[in-house]
Amino acid sequence: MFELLTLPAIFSHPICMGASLVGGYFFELSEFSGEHLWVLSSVFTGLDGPGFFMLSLNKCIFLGIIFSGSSESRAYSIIVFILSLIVGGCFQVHSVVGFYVFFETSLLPMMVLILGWGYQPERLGASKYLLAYTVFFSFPFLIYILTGSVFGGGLSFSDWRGNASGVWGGLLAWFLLSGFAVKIPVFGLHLWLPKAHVEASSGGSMVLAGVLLKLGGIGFWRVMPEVEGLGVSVDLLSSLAIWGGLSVSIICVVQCDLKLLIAYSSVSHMSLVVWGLLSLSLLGSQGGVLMMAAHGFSSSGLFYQAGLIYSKSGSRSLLLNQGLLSVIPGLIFYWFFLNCLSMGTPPSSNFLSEIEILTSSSVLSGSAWGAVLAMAFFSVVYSMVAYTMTSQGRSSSQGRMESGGSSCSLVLGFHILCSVLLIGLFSGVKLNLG
Amino acid sequence: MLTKLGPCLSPMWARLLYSGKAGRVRSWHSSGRWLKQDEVVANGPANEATPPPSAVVKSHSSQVEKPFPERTLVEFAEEETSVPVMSLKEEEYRLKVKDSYLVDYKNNQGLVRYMFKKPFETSYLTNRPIQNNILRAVDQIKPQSMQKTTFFKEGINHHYEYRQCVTTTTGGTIRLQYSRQENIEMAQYGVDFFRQAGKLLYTHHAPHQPRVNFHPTGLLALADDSQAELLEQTHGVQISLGVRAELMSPAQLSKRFPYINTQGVAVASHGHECAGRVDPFALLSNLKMKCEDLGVTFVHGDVHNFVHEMLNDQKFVDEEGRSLKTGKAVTDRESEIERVHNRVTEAHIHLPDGDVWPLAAGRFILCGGHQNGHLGRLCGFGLGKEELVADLPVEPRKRYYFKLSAPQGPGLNCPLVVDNTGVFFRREGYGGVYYVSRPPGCLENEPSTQNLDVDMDYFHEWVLPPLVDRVPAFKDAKASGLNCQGYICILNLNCSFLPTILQVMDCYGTFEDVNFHDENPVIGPHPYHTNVLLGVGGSGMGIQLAPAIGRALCEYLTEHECKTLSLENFDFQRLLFHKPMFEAIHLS
Repeated sequence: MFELLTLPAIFSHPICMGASLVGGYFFELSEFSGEHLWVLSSVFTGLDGPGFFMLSLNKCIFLGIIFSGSSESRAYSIIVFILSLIVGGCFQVHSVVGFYVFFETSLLPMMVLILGWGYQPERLGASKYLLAYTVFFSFPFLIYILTGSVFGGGLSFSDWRGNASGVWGGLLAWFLLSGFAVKIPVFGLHLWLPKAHVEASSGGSMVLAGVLLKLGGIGFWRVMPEVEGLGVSVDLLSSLAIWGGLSVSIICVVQCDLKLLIAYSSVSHMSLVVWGLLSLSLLGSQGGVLMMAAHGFSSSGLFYQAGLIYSKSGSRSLLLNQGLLSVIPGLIFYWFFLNCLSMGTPPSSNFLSEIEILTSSSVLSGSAWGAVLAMAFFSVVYSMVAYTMTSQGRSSSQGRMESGGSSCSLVLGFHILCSVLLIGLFSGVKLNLG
Repeated sequence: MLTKLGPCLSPMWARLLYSGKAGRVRSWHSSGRWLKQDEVVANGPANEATPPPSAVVKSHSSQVEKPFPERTLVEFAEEETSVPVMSLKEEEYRLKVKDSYLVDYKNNQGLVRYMFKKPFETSYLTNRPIQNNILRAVDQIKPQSMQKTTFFKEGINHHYEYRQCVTTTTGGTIRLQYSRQENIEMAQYGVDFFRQAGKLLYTHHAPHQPRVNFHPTGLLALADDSQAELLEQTHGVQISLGVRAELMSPAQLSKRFPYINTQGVAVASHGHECAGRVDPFALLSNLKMKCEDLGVTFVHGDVHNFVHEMLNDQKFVDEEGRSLKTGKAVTDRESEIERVHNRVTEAHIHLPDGDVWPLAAGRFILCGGHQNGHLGRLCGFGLGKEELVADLPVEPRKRYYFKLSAPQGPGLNCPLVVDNTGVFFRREGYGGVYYVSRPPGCLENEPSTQNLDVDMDYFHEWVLPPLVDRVPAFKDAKASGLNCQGYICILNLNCSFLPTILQVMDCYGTFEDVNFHDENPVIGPHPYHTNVLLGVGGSGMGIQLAPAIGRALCEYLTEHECKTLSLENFDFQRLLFHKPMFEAIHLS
């Protein structure tokens, strides 16, 4: 019976995918000097350009989770469905207060997923980290909203067009961005992410990496007009993001835990998103939003695959999971393509987004261009490390194991297809570099 | 006691003696049990397997031993059995283990099971889950000054001082005089480890430099006429591998060790280097401290169950021999692969507070000493058909160690002396104190393993006579007082065949993990239980070989093969293919 509840999600999926075509054109036409175009469906709900992308990403990811979590209990499916509704609401709401409410509410089902279906006792600490970081650093945003009348801001994103002004510009900018900086996460505020990813189950990691991190990106996108109005430079935050992302990508190379490696790679990719969004350029913003969507699919698929490997071998260690190409060749087939997506192999949207961000950074800052280039290099390194260490080598298993059935192939192929074809094609249509 | 010794002294039983034990070679039968020697000879056809070298028999009998009878090659019968697969063993298994512990955990996953569970604390398998959980919740909100609730489970004695552990109660003998190349190489690595233990086991937190008290006193092995040829052969192997040992004639022996009665001795092998004794408890405690320093977490408890996929209904077959999961015939290769690759997923540990903690892991290494056979059965070894019938042939065997005071004894010039009868003794300290022991010699003479009580009749009738015969100085051994530590010690002060009343300073019993297949360790992964590694069956050589076995297991974990030493011959397959790896020179 509960599978019927997923029908709205399934039927809305093609609508959202079609809507993203339309949204793409809106996205292209919008100016980046403080005005973001919204398509309002009601007084309180609507979508802007990135919102279309994220909503369709949301639907796709949760579809994948529903298919992948078929062996879990009903409570799991219900909680995942509730989370999908909350996150979808977060993308579609036009009111700032509503956005904050959904933003914080999404934390509860995520904590339940980690606590209820995690494997290890350390999940208690991980959920505490998640809760503390998110609530503490998003509290200033609530203060800014509640005192909006004092600073001249409105209660809808359309009203946030640089009306705010004040002596405490830097502090206000921090109030606006801190919660989303934790959610993305920016280097330095990212400590909760590796813990939460490692302790969460496969589906929990998929939704965390595929959707919840994008809440931070969407938050960045939607509050940037207000931050611009403050006249405050966000170079510090963007520099922290880009150089921290470089260090995190180097950390990825020396990881032994598969999920930790993918978690840190998420931090690295999202730091590129921050750099793109805070660059205040068309190309950078396009690249950032596209990177969010691309990373959502590739990272979600990687976490699902890591969960499959864990279910086969009982370990996430790269030292113990070797030679899987001869043990589960069917899954390693998808594992190869997912790692290619992670490293930004053409013709995927990951590649396109990296090119866009690289191009925008070359215009803005030479050193940042070097950092982005180095991050692109190290993303190749750790993706290759993740693939070669797991697939090559000698396996402890004597023969082939069961590859997981058709549902695994369906989910994995779905992730790869979305990332490579759909968004890549749409991006190719709307990209206008001239 | 004499009646027990009678059969061993009889020539008829002499053919069953092998390296000091009764015919320990056993064969697998498709019915899933170890056959005794007579059954093997009676049932199977002659095989092509080469018989083992003639035994170094340490018994009273000086007769020439008959060649070891040919053993059968195991043929896994393909006969159709009317009994469903795994039903008998599974039933026996379930009778031994309470059904409450065999819950299907897959159906219990989710919120209720894992909600807010702290490590080392909660589980749903307690006898009083609700009450205990309430008490635990109350404990968490109690202030530090108030006493916490303590949970006890009746019947569980948690001796975490390692009193019954093989490691701490063994003699700690170190030697290089083995007959197998693999054993010699492993022993050489072990000696290197013990020599550098102060450096390898150093931690910043330790108050002093770690010491394992390695005393290289040397080893002297005596052989009579029937054993001389074998001793010379093994000596050649040892010399080729760099062992510093020399063969001595009785005259040379008498000159170097005047206290030894050389009557009946044909040749002796004296190991100068890397033979002696190490303090096993010091080794254990320093090793544990180093492991904790490196980040290892030790969980104190008793392993009382494993969860493995063999308990999963999907592994069973129906009456027609088809897998319940795939519907294919069991003989089909695809379903065989699926059935064969069993995986242990959890270990359930009984904690001191009476709770049971399910510990999930990707790899399990069995090194539980004399309880390895039991642990293997818990892992699912032996639950299956054909190749899966074999379980670990490791069982506890009780051995006695006796401490004598002999001021007129051998003195400082006393290596570890191993007599041709099997009795061996070594010097303890510098005060004329000696430890002596002797293996039972035959299966029927094996002491009961119900407890660790020491039987002094065993000493007076089995150990003392050959000891006094070989070293007459022990005849006047006296005791400094009744200071028996350990367990119940029965003193027999009326030994009619001894002119002197003898008292023993100290005595204790210990369990030894004996691989009764070939009395050599089993090292490496299990071929079918793919995530279980074995380091079992030390058979009296555990301390000596432990560093090498540990390194081999690490290499199996990370590189899936043994790189530094070629220990493939010690793997589990030799038990299935009936290729025993016998060690000619045994001390126990």
